Formats: sequence, structure tokens, C-alpha cells
Amino acid sequence: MTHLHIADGVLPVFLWAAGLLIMAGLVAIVSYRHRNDRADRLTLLGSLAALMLAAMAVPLGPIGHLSFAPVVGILLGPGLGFLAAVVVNAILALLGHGGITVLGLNALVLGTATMAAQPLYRLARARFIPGTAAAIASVIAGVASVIALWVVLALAGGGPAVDPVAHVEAAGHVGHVEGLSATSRFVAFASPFWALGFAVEAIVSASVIGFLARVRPELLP
Amino acid sequence: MSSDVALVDTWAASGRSSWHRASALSKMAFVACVLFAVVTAHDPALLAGLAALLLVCLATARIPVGPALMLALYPLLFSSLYVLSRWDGTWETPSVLLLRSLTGSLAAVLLVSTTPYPDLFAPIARVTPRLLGDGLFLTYRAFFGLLHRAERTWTALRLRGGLAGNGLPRDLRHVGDGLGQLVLHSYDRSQRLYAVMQIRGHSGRVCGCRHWAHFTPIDLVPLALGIVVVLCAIARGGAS
Repeated sequence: MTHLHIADGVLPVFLWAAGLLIMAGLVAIVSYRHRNDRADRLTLLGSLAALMLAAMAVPLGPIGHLSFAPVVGILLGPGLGFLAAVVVNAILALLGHGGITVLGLNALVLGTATMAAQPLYRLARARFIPGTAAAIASVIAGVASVIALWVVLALAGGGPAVDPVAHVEAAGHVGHVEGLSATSRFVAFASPFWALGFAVEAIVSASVIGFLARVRPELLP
Repeated sequence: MSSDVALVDTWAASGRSSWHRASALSKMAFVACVLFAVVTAHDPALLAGLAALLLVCLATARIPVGPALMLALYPLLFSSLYVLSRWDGTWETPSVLLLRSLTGSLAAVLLVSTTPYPDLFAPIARVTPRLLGDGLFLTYRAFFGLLHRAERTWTALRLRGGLAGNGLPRDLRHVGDGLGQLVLHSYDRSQRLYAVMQIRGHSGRVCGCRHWAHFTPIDLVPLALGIVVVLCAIARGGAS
């Protein structure tokens, strides 16, 4: 639901290039921090990233689907959770679901949710049962992810990146619209979908984590 | 989405066309050239021509053009929302942006539907950290095992009335329980896979295959096409 899914050539070059650089930096840091992990962490990363792909097949209305990012983030932790977001977005980009050049931005947006989920869950767990804590973590992580998306769109600045240098002028229209107002319009369009997405993701996260708490509590942080 | 992955995997593994026989590296170079044109082109005619070229490439690779086009159209829905929110009153801006989306997606679909996944991920794994490179392999492999399991779970949920429309929250809780079972399956599967890797003497890298870099004369086709695309983009860019 919070996925960017914007394809190649839509955002300005500086933005997606910066996204790729930041993603590469984060991947390098995470890989270094987890360099001595046992290989079963790697196989778990693969399995849960695959589950994220499978969960994305669960449709939520005409243009949305589950992301499962909060649950994967809670189970894997911030570092491996971010890598799972990168892997999932890379496979989606190869399938034409989101561009290859915007892989960094897509990964950062989805990765924000996976990175935030476990710390939020731990905080909420101090006061609530696992299912409720997962729902709270899921909603806040989703909001963080949408804020990351909003920042990306706001940074895209004055309108679409048809020509990064020249302003398009035609029939008295100035082609560059105000970046923030355009972003606000996008947020206004997408907000109902996001609200639905947060609610659905919270119920599913609460249900999955509640289920795990009943049958295999040792898997939870 | 699940069926899309399975469909593309079948196309990549079962195809015998020239595109399938070309090395992964030359096809990646071609896609890079297309993306260069996508990012730099401001001319709707050039982008439409490029999209048509990619459709011809898909047809010559004997990939069903209709389903491939449907895959490539998917991000247009999301791009449309973005383009709509930033419409500047001209028809050129939306057409260029939507054609860019379509062309970029078509290039990705051509690459992935003519390249088996070990050849596709092997060069990526060479230049990325182990966790990421191997993560791609293991995710893709795990996905198909999980897919069958997920289909059985959804079938069982439907047959037992778990998704019978007893209110959305209740149905979603049942979906969550189903996904919870899949999480458990994923844990168990990852432990089994780890044991198998240990038995087989896992050396720190999952794939050591080198088919992706076996160059043959057929690689000249994607490379030459890529150069033509870049030259066209530069020429049209200079003209506009």
C-alpha cells in the first residue's frame, strides 16, 4: 500500500541517483554489521522476503495489496529487514513493478517500515499484548513509510521530470507546478488508500504476531 | 503477482529464441541503454518508437506479447496517479512520463522473461555484498516453494469458510492466521535449507555459475541494438 511503484523516468535524476547511493550505503553498513551471522539468518531472510512477495499477491481493492513489511521487520530486525525490502523491490523491478532506476527510493520507502517495525514493537510490547503491540507498530511503521514517500515526492520539487533543465511552457501555462502543492495533491489522492492500507496491515500484523505468540513465542523478539 | 512470477519464470526457462541464447550480461547492457534513453528522452515519438521496438523484441523472443504488455502496464496505474497530481496543462508531459514508465517496464520484462534466474542474479551477486546477492537467489527459490503452500492455504481457508464474507475484520484475521502458518513454514524451511547447505559444504556463496558471461556471436544483437538506442536518444535529444 505504501509502495512507490513509480516507474523509470518519472522522477528527477538527482533524486533516484541519491536514492541508489543511500540504499547502497545502507546495504554496505548492514552487510558489514551482519558479516559474522550464521547462514541460517541468510536462509531466513530469503524465506521471509519470499513470503513478503507472496503476501503482496493478496489484493486490497483495485490498486492496493498487502505489503507485510511490518511483520517481516518485526521478525528480522532493522538491518535484515531493510535487506529484505531491497531484495523484494529488486525482484519487483525486474518484473516491471516499479522501475530499476528508482529501486533505491522504493527500497528506502518500504525499508523505512521494515526498519522501524521491530524497535516500535519492542516499545509497544512493554505495555500491550503481542497482537496489539504488532498492530501499533504496524500503523506507526506504515505512517513512517508514507512520510518517507512524501519526502521523496516533495524533493521531486517543481513537477514532473520531463526536462530537468528547461521549464515547459505551452498555451500560457507554466509547466512547472509548485512542488509542495503538487505533492499535497498526490497525498490527497492517495490518502484514502493509505488509510485503508494501514487498517488492513494492522489487523493482519496483529493476527500473524498473535498467532506466533500462541504457537511459537520463541520466534518473536 | 504470484502468477506473474511463475509465468515469467516459465518463459525464461522454456524459451529457445536468440534472446534466450544471448548472455545475461549483453541483455543487461541493452536494458541499461534503454534506461539511458528513457531517462534522457523528452520526445514522445522516440519513446513510442522505443516501446514498439521492445514489443518487437518480445515477439521475436516468442514471449506472448499480450501478457507481457499487461505486466509492463502495471506501474502505469501508479504513475498515472502521480502524473495526474502534477499535470501542467500540456499533453506532452503526461504522455512522455507514461511512455517512459511503459518503456522502462517493457525493458525489464524483456530481460527477466528471456533470462533464467541463476544467470540473471549471478552477475548481480558478483558486485553486491553476499547477504544481498545470495538473498536474491534464496528469495526467488523460496518463492516457488511458498507459492504452492500459499495456494493450498488459501484454498483451505476458502473451503472451511474462512473467507466467507463474515465481515472484513474477521476475514482479515483469518488471512493473518493463514499468513502466520506460512511464517512458521518459512522458518522451518529456512532451517532445513541451512542444514542442506552445511551438508553440501556451503562456502559463503550460493551461486558460482558463469553462464551469464558466455559470449557468443548472438550477443552482438542486443549490444548493437543498445548502441542504436543510445545514439537515437542522443540525436533526438540534441535535436529537440
